[in-house]
Amino acid sequence: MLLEARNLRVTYRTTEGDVRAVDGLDLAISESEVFGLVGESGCGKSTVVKALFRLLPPTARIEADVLRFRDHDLLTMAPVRFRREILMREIALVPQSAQNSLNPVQRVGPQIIEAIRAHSTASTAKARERVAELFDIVGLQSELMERFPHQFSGGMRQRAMIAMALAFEPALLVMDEPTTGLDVLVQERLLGRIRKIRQRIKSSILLITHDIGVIAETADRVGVMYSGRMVESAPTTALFAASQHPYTLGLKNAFPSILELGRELISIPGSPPDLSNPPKGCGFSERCPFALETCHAQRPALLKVGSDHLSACIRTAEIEYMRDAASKKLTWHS
Amino acid sequence: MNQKSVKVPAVPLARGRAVRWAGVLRRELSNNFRIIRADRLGSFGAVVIVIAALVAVFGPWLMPHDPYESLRMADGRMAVLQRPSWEFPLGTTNLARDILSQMIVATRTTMVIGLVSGLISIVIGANIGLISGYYGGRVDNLLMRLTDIVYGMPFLPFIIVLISLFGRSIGFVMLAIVVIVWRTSARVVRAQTMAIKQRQFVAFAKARGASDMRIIYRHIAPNILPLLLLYTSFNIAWAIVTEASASFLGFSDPNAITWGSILQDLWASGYTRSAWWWFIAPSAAIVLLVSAFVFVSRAYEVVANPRLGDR
Repeated sequence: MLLEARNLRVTYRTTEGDVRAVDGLDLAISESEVFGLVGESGCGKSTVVKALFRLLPPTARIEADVLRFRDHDLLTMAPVRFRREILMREIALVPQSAQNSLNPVQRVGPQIIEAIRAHSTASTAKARERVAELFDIVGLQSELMERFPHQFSGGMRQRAMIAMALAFEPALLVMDEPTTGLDVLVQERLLGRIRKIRQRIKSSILLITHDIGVIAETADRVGVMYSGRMVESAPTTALFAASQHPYTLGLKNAFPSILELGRELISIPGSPPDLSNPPKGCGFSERCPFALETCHAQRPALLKVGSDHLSACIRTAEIEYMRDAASKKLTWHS
Repeated sequence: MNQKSVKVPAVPLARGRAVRWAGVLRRELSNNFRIIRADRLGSFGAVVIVIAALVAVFGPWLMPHDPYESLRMADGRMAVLQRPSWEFPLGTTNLARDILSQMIVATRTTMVIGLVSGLISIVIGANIGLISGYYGGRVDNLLMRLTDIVYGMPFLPFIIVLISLFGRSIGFVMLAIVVIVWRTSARVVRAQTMAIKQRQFVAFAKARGASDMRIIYRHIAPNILPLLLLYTSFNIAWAIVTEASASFLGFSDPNAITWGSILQDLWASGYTRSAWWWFIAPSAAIVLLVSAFVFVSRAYEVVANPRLGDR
């Protein structure tokens, strides 16, 4: 297992009491796997990234039973060691809104060269060669190294960020909403680029997005997050072919599919729960059309429902009925 | 954009460090030149500063007389309180000394005091502002309360205490100026640092393992460079005025000639009402040089705060 988190909790202390943005997340990513993490806005996806990269503000607290990267315990690792040995070299981030993530007053190439030299003993010449190589991998011409970030288009900046993240071929590449803010054509090209990179570099990728289509195209394995918890996790094909959790069923309804042209899109009514006052039971119980009394009172555990398929719902036994009912609009909007 | 992954052309050779620095320097100079050229008063200020700098450097070769010597006229009489003439272009003092020569000597002292204390104070102020704004919390609190204390310190009583403890010298005047001037730049740099710190690229630098020092000096500082330049010239202007008032009040080294001390000699001699040539030269020089620095800083201000450009 490359990255393993068990019962990960992130709490923000605020004047109105604690807010649990991540509430007992279980996550496991294997070597050279593309893991897609989906969920709607505010479900804690980005907080997971921040917790992993230690970007949380001092008012936040991270707890977990296990937070392990290979043999390193990330919970207890000293900051300096984490910064020097893990970041960039082992796990690298392509941040959300990569558009604004370059220093505006420094040329793009030198920025990446500096990052490489800060983490290795490479000479400037060696680092420059490496950047040219990286630019080639992400499909940028090496002349662009001498340009400033504002002379790049959005897609080019995104690719420059990916180039920087790939500098040391990290074991895990985290991409936080890589396609958000790009138009569909650039999005499509970027996804193609990611697939191409996958052929050249064997890094695992943690792909975080709210776009289930991006996941379907790119990920080997999918985790569905809801209100700070993992509700379902399975290989991509299994998840789309045989969804087990009512939330996943609802999420699939809300996205158009090329295989079912003309299908009416059904939204999930309501909004995610208030995390400063989370429901006692299942996080989805208030919006779930299949919720029972127990759902409101007790939190369901993430259990094995098939080979390599996990789901957190107490009505798993009735999945055939739920799948059937979930495809009807009346079930959700009555 | 070109989608095909083109075969990478030969990797551009890394140029030598010296060559690269020369390039950076040339770029910076031409950028700064452009900023100042764009502003008419700024160009005027720059010309004045360049002339003052040349006078400061080549002063000893430009002086028509020894500034400390009591001079005689062609007929052998002492040249006491002479009006401006070909022989004495700016007139003479009551001790028959040439005011032009005194002005030239004083230019060097003034420029040295202004530049040295202005630069030291911006270095102190910028570092305190950067560290305070970047770390926030307890560090910020400590450094900003220190700044508040300095804000409460009046310059004159401070320098009076300083010279009565250690004696009169230019060094203590400079020290007093530095101690007082850094406070404004510290506050402004702190505010700007706090704004830049929130930007996405700073968080991302952290996510790729950049140390605090690298973030402060490689990522934040270059982004506040126009502001730093603005406050550098502002601090220099302030240092020149302050030095002039300190010497006028007689707190400076009694043997050093500065524009302020020329005025002080005039005041002490009691000819303030009659010898108009004696006060016009130093007063005009102070006003001109200080305005020059303010004009240059104003040209930079348009860069630091683009909204001013609409005026």
